Amino acid sequence: MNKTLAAGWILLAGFALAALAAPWLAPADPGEIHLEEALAPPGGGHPLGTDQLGRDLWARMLFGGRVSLTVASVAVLLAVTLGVALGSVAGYAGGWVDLLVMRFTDIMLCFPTLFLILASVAFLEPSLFNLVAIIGATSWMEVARLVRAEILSLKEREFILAARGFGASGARIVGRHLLPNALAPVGVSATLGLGSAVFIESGLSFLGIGIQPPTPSWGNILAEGRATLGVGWWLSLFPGLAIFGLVLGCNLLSEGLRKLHD
Amino acid sequence: MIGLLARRLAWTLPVLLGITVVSFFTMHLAPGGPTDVITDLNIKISLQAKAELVKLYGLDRPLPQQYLAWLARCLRGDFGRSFKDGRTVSTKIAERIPVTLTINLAALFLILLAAIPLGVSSAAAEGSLWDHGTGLFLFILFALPSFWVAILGLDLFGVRLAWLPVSGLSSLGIQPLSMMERLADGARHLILPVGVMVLGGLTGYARYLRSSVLNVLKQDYIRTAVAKGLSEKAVLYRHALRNALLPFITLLGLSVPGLLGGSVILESIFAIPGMGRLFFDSVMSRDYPVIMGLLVLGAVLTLIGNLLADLAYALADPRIRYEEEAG
Repeated sequence: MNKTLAAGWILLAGFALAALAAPWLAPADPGEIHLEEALAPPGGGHPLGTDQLGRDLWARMLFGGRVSLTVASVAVLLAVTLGVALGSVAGYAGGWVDLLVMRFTDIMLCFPTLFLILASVAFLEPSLFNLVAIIGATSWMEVARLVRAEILSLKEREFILAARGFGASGARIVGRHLLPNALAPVGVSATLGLGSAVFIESGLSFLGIGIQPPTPSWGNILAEGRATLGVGWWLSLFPGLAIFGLVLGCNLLSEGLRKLHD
Repeated sequence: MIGLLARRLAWTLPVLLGITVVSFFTMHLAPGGPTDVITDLNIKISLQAKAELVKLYGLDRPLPQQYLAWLARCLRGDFGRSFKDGRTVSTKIAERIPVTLTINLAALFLILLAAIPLGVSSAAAEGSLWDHGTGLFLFILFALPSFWVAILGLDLFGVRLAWLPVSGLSSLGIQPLSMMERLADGARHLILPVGVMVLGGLTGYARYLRSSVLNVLKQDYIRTAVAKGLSEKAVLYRHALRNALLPFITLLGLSVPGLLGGSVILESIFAIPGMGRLFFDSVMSRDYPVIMGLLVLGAVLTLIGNLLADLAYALADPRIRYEEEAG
């Protein structure tokens, strides 16, 4: 366990705990409107101040973190599942299956991710489910390439030939003997991908095509903050800091895992 | 070289076809087909637009026929007309490309200007305080959301200090000004968006170059250069950097999709009339022909970027050329 890895775990665990304990940590309901307390600066009964509707920012940040973390982690889980499945099929089967899958990966890599996501959002409605599905379906390519490369480099080694000799099935060889070796590079890529997914979700919500108000997300709080920047700096500062902290945690974890692996 | 070119082109054609298939599929993601979304969920689009859409994409015909007809029109560069103003999609996109290209090239130039000395100096002093310090700085920069940096920059330099304009590419009432004054005005408008792009892109390039230089410094020819008494500067910049920059060419080609995607958010924040802004506006107004045109074109631009990078690499590095020709 190196320092980078530890710092990453601590940051991520902090965010995850805050998101889990949101109902107990929040002083008020995140949707509760108190117009008489609109745009109150941090301090007093509102540790981070209130927005233009008088909603408590700390509560909105906590519940927004839940949304951002859920979307990002489920999307990455989906991307890793897709990437591992396609990568191992391509790597193990070889031949035209490999050619077909890898060509498809090349094609997907040609699309600017945000273009593909925006176009999908235009045809689908930006619900939580669709957002997760779209982000996941557009970010599996790197994992697929990593898994395939790892399997190709191992599949002619003696221990695999031995397993095959004992009559192990293809699925068992891939699952039990090949994939565990790909775990480290996939972990590095997945944690880095978690940070990108946080960026994508908050960026989309910031533009108004991600998580829709009144459901809070750091991105849409920041969009509201931008409109009131002249009178309430706290509405722009805190959500930005939260996105930064979470992404920093993911990147530290990824860097730490990479060092550990080397 | 000819053989390499032929092989790359043979790889490009199926990918190009695949791009159109994926784009076509994206359009049909809508439950019940593209026209359902329009009539059910968006009242902005009239029945007339629906009829136009059916005609444009041949939505009343079976899927394979639809795709082939659409593909034939794509290949001719015909993406239909915008729902919003009736102008052809290709003209609308063509007039936006120079803006996005200028901003991205300006940002890329400044990034390289900063990343090269940063990468080389930190690799040369591997493990030093300078190496760790710049590494930490770049790591922090990498986690900053660009849209947050953009709005904080806008607020500080555009509103509070009022040093820089907050949106668009030119000031109002610019017509009577001279050519030079107009250029200066344009440059002032570019400082903030280009600055945010540079901050966002710097880390990737600087760190990549650092590891690339570190790799080169281990080679025998570097030991030879040091042994024959060349100065550290000559070794670093003449022998190491030139070789370290080779894989960099590939990185430049790979960065096209990221730059195009990034321009969506930044051009929207700074109200810059480029491709990214056009994409965002089209999504907001459900201008499907423009969305489809941009989607296909964005991927094709990436493909061209990769192809150019491959060829440039082969031109710059004879080893690649010989290997490819032998293999």
